[in-house]
Amino acid sequence: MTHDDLSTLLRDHVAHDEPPAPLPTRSISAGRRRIRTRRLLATGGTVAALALTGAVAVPLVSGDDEPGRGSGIDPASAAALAAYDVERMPELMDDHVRAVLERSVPDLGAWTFSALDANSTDLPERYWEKASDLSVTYGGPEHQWDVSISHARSEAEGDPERYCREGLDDGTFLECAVDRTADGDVVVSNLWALRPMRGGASKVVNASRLDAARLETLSFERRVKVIKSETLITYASEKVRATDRDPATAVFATSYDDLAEIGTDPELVMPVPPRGENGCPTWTWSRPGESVSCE
Amino acid sequence: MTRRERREREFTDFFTAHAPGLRRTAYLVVRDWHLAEDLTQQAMAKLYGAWSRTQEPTRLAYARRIVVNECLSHLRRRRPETAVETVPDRAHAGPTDHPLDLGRTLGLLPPRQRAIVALRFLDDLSVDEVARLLDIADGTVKSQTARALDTLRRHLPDLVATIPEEPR
Repeated sequence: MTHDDLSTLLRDHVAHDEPPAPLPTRSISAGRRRIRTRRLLATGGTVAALALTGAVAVPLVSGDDEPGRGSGIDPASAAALAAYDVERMPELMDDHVRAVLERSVPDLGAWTFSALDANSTDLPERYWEKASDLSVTYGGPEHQWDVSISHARSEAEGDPERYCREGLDDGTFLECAVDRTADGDVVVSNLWALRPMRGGASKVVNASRLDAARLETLSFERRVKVIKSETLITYASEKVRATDRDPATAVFATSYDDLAEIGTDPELVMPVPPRGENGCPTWTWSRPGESVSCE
Repeated sequence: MTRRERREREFTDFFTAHAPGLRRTAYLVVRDWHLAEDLTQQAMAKLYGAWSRTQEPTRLAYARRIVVNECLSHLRRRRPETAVETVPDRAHAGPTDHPLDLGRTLGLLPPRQRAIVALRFLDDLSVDEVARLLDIADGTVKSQTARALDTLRRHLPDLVATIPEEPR
């Protein structure tokens, strides 16, 4: 008898009461938790840095020391930040946004995810962790929804009531209102008219020029901006092609409340992007042949 | 496909192909299917977490090492086995309605010897492969194998003819 015979005996021994084959789902769930825990430990410095800047603080209520700064981040968002995993973000953002949008738009359709650096350059997946902006987009040129998470101090600072007041006075905004949540998020909701520019961006059409604007290129957009910390902002917007220059005729499907619900979702967060390797305060992607420097 | 989707697809394929065999190895070491399942799942969760650091040619060896280490660590944390007092000096011999009690006799072996028997005779690994997996010398693998076979022969005399005198 041979080595193989003992092998056969052992195989028969294990086979005679072997249970059904194991499933991978348990290992995958536990493995994902291991990765999240490892990333939490690895980004402990980032969370600490947020704390030093005052971005992680006790929940704000109305009447905080500097109106409009929204200098803290609410505990629920802080907790989501601690469990952040950029690879999950496309699905997470779609799950959370779709759940709200499909109440009013059941056939919302496919989505597009993008991660941008501080220069608004589209990043390949390997650089997503260094992004300054994450967004999901639904619909098309006639009717579009866009939700983004970003870090932009210049867009987070300032007095939001004054921002609305001045915007209405100078014709930038057709509507504007400011709210504050119990968690301390500042919610700025506005309506404006837009027309396309070259390169895919949009330009605001001032209220005073609305009557003269070309109808075939005119759109109206409802936008909700949520300021979650000194730099963390979410935008949730719906843009519809105009059929009339009167914004009251715009066929919006999604309410300001729903856009605000998306924008204030505590799970729509991202960490502060890393500093640039080229002296810039925020990381930008230097592709071969390009040179970006802040030095 | 995102990186996570790719990882999960590759991991699922690997798990489907190899987890049953890894669990059998664990079962020979810990002698309990529920425990073998738990320890194999734990090991595979560790493998999932380290997936991007593993290479396809060495992945199975890496997974096997994690499984065996999980089993041996678990047994080290438990009370010493007391099977020696319960197994008779001579195994049942004779009629075919008394099957060989290979399982109970394996329980007489220290955990590391069981692991070596599992790796050599169930997983068909060479002396060199087992030595690398357990991080021990070749000579230790050979001597432990010889002692394990000696125990098996002593307690299962009907197996004398089936167990090779010299391990490969």
